[in-house]
Amino acid sequence: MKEFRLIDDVMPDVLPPDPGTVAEARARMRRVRRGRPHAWAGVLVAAAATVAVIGAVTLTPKLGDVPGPPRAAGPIAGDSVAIPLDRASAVPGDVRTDTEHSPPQRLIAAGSLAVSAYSIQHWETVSGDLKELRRTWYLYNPGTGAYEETAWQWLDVAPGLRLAAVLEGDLPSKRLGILDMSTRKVLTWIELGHPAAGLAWSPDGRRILATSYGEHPDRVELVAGDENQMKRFPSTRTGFSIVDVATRQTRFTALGPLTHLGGADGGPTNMNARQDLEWNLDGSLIWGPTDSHPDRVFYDLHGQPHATPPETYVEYSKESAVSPDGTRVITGRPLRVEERTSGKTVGRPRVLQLLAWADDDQLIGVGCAGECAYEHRNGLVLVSADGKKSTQLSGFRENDKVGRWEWLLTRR
Amino acid sequence: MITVHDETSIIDPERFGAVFDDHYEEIRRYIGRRLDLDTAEDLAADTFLIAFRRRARFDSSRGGVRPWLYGIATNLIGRHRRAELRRYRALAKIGPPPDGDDHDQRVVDRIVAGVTVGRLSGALARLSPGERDVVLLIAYGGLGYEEVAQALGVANGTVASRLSRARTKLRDSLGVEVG
Repeated sequence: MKEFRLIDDVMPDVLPPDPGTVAEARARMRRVRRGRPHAWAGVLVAAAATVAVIGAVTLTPKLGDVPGPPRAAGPIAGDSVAIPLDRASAVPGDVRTDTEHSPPQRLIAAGSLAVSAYSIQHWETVSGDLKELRRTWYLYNPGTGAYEETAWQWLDVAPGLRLAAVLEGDLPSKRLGILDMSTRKVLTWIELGHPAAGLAWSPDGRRILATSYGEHPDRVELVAGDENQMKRFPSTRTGFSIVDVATRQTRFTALGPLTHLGGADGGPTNMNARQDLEWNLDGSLIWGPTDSHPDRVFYDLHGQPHATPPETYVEYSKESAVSPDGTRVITGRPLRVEERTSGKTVGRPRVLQLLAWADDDQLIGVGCAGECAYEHRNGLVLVSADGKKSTQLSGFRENDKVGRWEWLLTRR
Repeated sequence: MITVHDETSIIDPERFGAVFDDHYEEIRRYIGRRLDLDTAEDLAADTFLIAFRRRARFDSSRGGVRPWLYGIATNLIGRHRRAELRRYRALAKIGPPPDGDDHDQRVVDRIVAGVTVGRLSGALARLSPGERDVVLLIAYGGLGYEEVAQALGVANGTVASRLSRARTKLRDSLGVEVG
């Protein structure tokens, strides 16, 4: 007879969980394991509301120019290329959906956010038991309004959806290209002294943060050829380059990875090999991801540890948790939107995750199909902060496996 | 290279979901029987988040996945000790179920034995935290002695002595043997 059976029999039991509770618990774990945040940093949220042309910067696609500060563009001619800094396309209330196709074929956008690209992963055998997780990127083409396949192994899209930064050839790569998303032509190449495998445009669209690695960061080794057993390698992150796009001036700073044991002081850990660095919300600092608490560690632009700035992020994401007007905040369990000053609950949108604020009243999140019988059958939804209104933005992905499409959200 | 043995499914983030699927409900239930359900759902999620973050340090030579997860959950419950005691005190005020409320033989048995939710709650509240952890890991989790030792990170002898003290206290409180 089982010991203490009397206690088990007599003491009150609990009802089984509802699917939403299970999905939320699982989603929290998934957020930690994500190697790359999907959404774009949100410092331009205030600017987005003004829909103003901030200015333009020229760059000439020749190497060896004398470095200089970005300058305002006059009429664009010859081989000069404007870095578009306007948010003219972010029309309030403009919502673009493509719920018929998964992955999407036509632009998905709401408020100041858009799906600027998506990627699909697959395992590629490098040699013997060595495999790499590779991505095929489908990048939005503003000319055709469609997502089109590219050959780049890594990319990031600049705010405004006109330019993309791409890495040439196999990762890590020593050449960074600036791609015109409409003509699909590389406007200029920038040589990186230290090969990179991760990219992030600064919130103002003027600089690129490239994270460097010694080896491909998405590489594993099969144990005795068994597809179900993979050994992961420790991170080989070496540091980062900050590239000033207008001048092509590049500065590398060494910055090693976190490890699964944490630092010497037992601080945050990260056992992921890919530890891409990101800009903070105003582009004055950078941060590296952890797989523990706190969810990120900050550095100044010279790679020195920096105190955590007073910014509130969506957990394990580069998105601001605070609404563009500063009045509301996305907060934790149960997932909800709160008034920042009073702490009063504004609403509890029925989604698996809230990814980012599209405008002052609406957020983009991950929603389940139907009644959420299977949480990995999910897609992008636009929800109101009070949780009362929901619009499906994309078709549903079928599962959580390698091979499903992964969105990249960018300020448009 | 990170050393892995046969715990690949724990190490591999893509496969950790299977650990969650297999154990989430029982961990939530274990916590939910010791604390209120809202807290339990939070702590159950925290248990798997912590397990996920610490997966590199999981050592299968020191026990299986279940004791490991129950150990994390029990540590989290330990931070809510006063809430757990408040719950037992509240339950202790509940009288016996009315006759004919439930004809399940187990219920009949326990009423015959005079062990009600109220009396049992009062008895559990009188155990030390360490004794209560051992008793409830066995009662709710169905763990064996060795698994309890693994979960709590204590020696087998410690489990045995806590059990012995707990049995005596429970018997004194309830007037019957409960385990």
